[in-house]
Amino acid sequence: MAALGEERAHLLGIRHHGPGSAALLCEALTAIDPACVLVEGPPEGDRLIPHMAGNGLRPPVAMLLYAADDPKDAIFMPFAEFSPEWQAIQWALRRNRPVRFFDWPAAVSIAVRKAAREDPEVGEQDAPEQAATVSALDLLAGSAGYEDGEAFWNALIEQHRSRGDSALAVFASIATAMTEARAAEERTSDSAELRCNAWREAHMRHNLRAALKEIPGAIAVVTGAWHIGGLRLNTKAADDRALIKDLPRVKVDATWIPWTDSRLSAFSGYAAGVISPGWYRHLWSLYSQATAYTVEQFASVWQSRTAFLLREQGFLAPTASAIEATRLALALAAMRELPMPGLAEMREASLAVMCEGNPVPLAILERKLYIGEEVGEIGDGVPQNPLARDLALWQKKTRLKPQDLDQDIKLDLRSEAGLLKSTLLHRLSLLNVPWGKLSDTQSSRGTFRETWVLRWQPEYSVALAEALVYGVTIDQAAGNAALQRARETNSVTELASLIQDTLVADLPETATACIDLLQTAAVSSSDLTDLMQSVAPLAGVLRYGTARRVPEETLRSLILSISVEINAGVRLASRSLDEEAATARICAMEVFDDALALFGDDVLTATWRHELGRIVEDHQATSGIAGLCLRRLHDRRDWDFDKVAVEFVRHTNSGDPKNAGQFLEAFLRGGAEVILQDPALLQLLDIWLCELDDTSFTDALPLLRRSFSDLESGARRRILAKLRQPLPHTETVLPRTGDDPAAAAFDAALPLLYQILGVGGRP
Amino acid sequence: MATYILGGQAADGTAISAKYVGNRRLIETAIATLATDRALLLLGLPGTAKSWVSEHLAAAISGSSRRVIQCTAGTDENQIRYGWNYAMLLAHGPSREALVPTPLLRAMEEGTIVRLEELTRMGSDVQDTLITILSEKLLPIPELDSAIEAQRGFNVIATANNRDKGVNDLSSALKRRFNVVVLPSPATLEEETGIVVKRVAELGTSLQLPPIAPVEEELIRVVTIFRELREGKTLNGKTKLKTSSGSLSTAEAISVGVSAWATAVHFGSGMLDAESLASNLVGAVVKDPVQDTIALQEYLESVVRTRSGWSDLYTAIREVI
Repeated sequence: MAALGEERAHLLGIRHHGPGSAALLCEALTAIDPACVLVEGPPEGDRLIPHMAGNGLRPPVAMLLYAADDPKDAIFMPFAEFSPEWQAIQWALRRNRPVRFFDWPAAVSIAVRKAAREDPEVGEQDAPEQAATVSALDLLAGSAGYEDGEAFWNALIEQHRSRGDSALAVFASIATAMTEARAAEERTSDSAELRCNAWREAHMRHNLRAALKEIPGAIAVVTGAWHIGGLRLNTKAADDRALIKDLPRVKVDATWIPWTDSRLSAFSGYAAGVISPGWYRHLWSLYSQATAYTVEQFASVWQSRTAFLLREQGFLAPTASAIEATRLALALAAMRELPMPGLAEMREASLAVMCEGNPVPLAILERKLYIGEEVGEIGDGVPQNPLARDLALWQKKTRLKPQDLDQDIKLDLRSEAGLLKSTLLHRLSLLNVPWGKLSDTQSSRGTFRETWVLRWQPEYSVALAEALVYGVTIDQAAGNAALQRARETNSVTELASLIQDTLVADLPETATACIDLLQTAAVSSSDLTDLMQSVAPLAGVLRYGTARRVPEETLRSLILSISVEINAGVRLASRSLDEEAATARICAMEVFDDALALFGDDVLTATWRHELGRIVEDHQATSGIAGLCLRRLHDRRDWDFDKVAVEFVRHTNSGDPKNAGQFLEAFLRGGAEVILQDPALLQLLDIWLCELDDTSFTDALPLLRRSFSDLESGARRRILAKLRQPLPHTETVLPRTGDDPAAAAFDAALPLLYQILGVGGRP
Repeated sequence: MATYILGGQAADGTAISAKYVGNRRLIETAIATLATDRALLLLGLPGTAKSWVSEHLAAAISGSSRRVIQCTAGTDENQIRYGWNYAMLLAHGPSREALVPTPLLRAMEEGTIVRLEELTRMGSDVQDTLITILSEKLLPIPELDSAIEAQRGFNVIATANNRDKGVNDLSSALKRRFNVVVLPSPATLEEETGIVVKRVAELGTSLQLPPIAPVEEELIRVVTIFRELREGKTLNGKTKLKTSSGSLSTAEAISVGVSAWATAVHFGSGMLDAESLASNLVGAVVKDPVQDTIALQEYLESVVRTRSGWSDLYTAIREVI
């Protein structure tokens, strides 16, 4: 008996997303001129095929198939314009030939995968068939002396690009070779994978038989080259039916979603992904041209595009270099005995000629040139998206109804219902769907209460559709969206706030990932003010907790490493700051000092205090910062009074009254208690003021006034009162005996003192 | 030819020893560059086998690597293009006989490779002499109203250090006439440790230092510290670190190993231990007293302190800085 449909079914083995394979396929289809095209893919997608003819759908897009009751269980089937599957369907649609998917139903594959996941024996089996396809082709390419499967295809298309019949011959030899390769590999594969594959191919044969029965004439079967051997198997129809009859099934919904180049690339974890969508698009743009082109043209177009993008980024990449890079790429290809330069040759040539061996410029182009920035579009009239469906489920669960008017809700996070609502709203905010707005910062009410204002706007549905690229459920999408934002920023404060956001949105894994990113950013950040500010919210979360799960250990080590960083750099960073920067730094240092106390790591705190001391003693430190440091050391009793006094005198007598004023202002921040309670300190201040000569005094006046203006009026009054009383051990400085001339001088100075202290008139 | 450099088997089965251990693709790029008649510039840190590779490339292509100019700050145009035999110049006037050829000129006439060592150490104005020679393969001699055209096979291989101070950057006109291949530091800890252990042993023995033990464990720590600070992250990639301003090359790791050895036998316990390493390590890492101290301190607190079995090193280094 002949193999299944041998005369009428043309099996065309392809490589997923291979432009070479796509071009060859187009040739073959034209040569066969089939009555019907079968494409590898789940039959549930059949009703999505008509959308591909319209203008609304622009690749890269993906077919999304998900279990109706649990959208998390989903399969994506991405298409780029250079995917052979896409081209095959377009070919059929253009000629009004029937086209359908003939792989096993997603209903079965999702159910099987789910069963496998729940069965610990088998473990996770994510799309094993795709990985196998790639490796087998690479194996074949390797034995033919090529670097990988794609290079192999490219070489084939190079040799056969002009004639349709020879394309058929290529597919025939691919089929033979792959059947051999498969026989070799099948012996080594594990059984679970084999079992899945047997089910799949039984479905394929079943569907192929149905198509053969239904449609007279030639049928083109477009499938991963790996499956050809399986399709040729000589089985009985009844056996195949028996094999697939009892498989589990789930209800499946299908829709189109926009896809992106970066998700098409292999780096995003997609098993059949390609290394460089940008490069493949370039290959395809040449393959799909009607006119023939030379290898030189092909290489020079790519190199000049590289040069152009480099120039756009401000690098020196003249046309002459693009020419030389092209020559080098061709020479490298010749040396490696390739018919045309591959991506590796192009890249190495660009690197050596245009970038002076420095990989940084090329890394900058990575996104633009190699991966590409295309985002697909899906038109109107495509079935509803799973995120909206998931949101509807959540709304039911949390009993929150979308309404077009403001609605206040108060949540108690200690109750399960309240926590659930809050989590949902926080996650939606991360997705750019601000359905609820947090109306107060609950600073005074503890951490277990939140008040929200809800209002649903129609454009949120659009935002939800946009968020689809991040995932198909609210929590998955929120996590990925936050992660994406975190990856795109370098700002330490932004990352710290993202960590907070993800923690309140109950996404501890994402928070952990953000924590790692923050650690990375913290090392390269030179802005200590930023770093110090970022510690406080983190330490707060760690110390007081929220009503949510917190990855405590990671958070602790993060705070530790940032603090170490700050300790190492704070002294040098305190030098020569202008006034604005110094003010920001002083605030940050206060916050950081308090946060360290909350954090409670003794070694860390000790090092920090030690650094504060060194700043005070550092002659180059900005005066304001030194003032704050000294105050903190004094407040926490780290230094005894004598030491504080010595430094206080040194700083106030530093010569420049402007510096002294800044020092004083920072020292007196946050209350006058320090000089009220410490007569000795007040005396020091007094001595300094009295010893100023006229000019210096006038210079220092505005600054003094400013230092004191921060104090409350009550405190100022008390200072004045204190000053008017005899200080217990200041006889020598301010003797106040009866008719001493100094007393008269003091009385004469009083109006001015009132003015300085801002106390209107005599008390 | 790639086989000659990287080792392998000749067509007749003769084994060929490896001259360079590293990435095959880089060497292929270098060879393809020379094949397309472009000049080659090998960049890299000290101790990454730049000169070694250039010597072998020249030998493999021209059969000899004798034509070499060592560029220094004192190299002038006469040492690049041609000089004059002044006695003859005064006696007979300008003539070809009075011309003193340089290695470059000889290479042009013979059609062989000329090597320029440490190109960037030469003054920028002198470097630019090369522009015409590289783009037109022609050396004009205005005094004789003639020019020397290079024979087929002439080419230039230059080497330069890309992280050194006090060098003269190439002008962009000259730079773009070179294809640049950067030779990297050893790829893995094992590879680098292997090189360091071997070289320390060789150097120590040739300096007649008294024998010492244990060597390998301590050298692994040195190489680990160097690699981590050089790459700005820990080996497991989990923690990011500040990088130091020094190059921290394999060659420096070797010298730390040797001097620690000397310290240990003459002033220390006679064992290569944390104390003897610490001061030499700090000396090698801290090249810029401000930045590098910060980097080292951060490294010490966040990595060395927590790594098990490294507490002796932590204490020793803390004492030094």
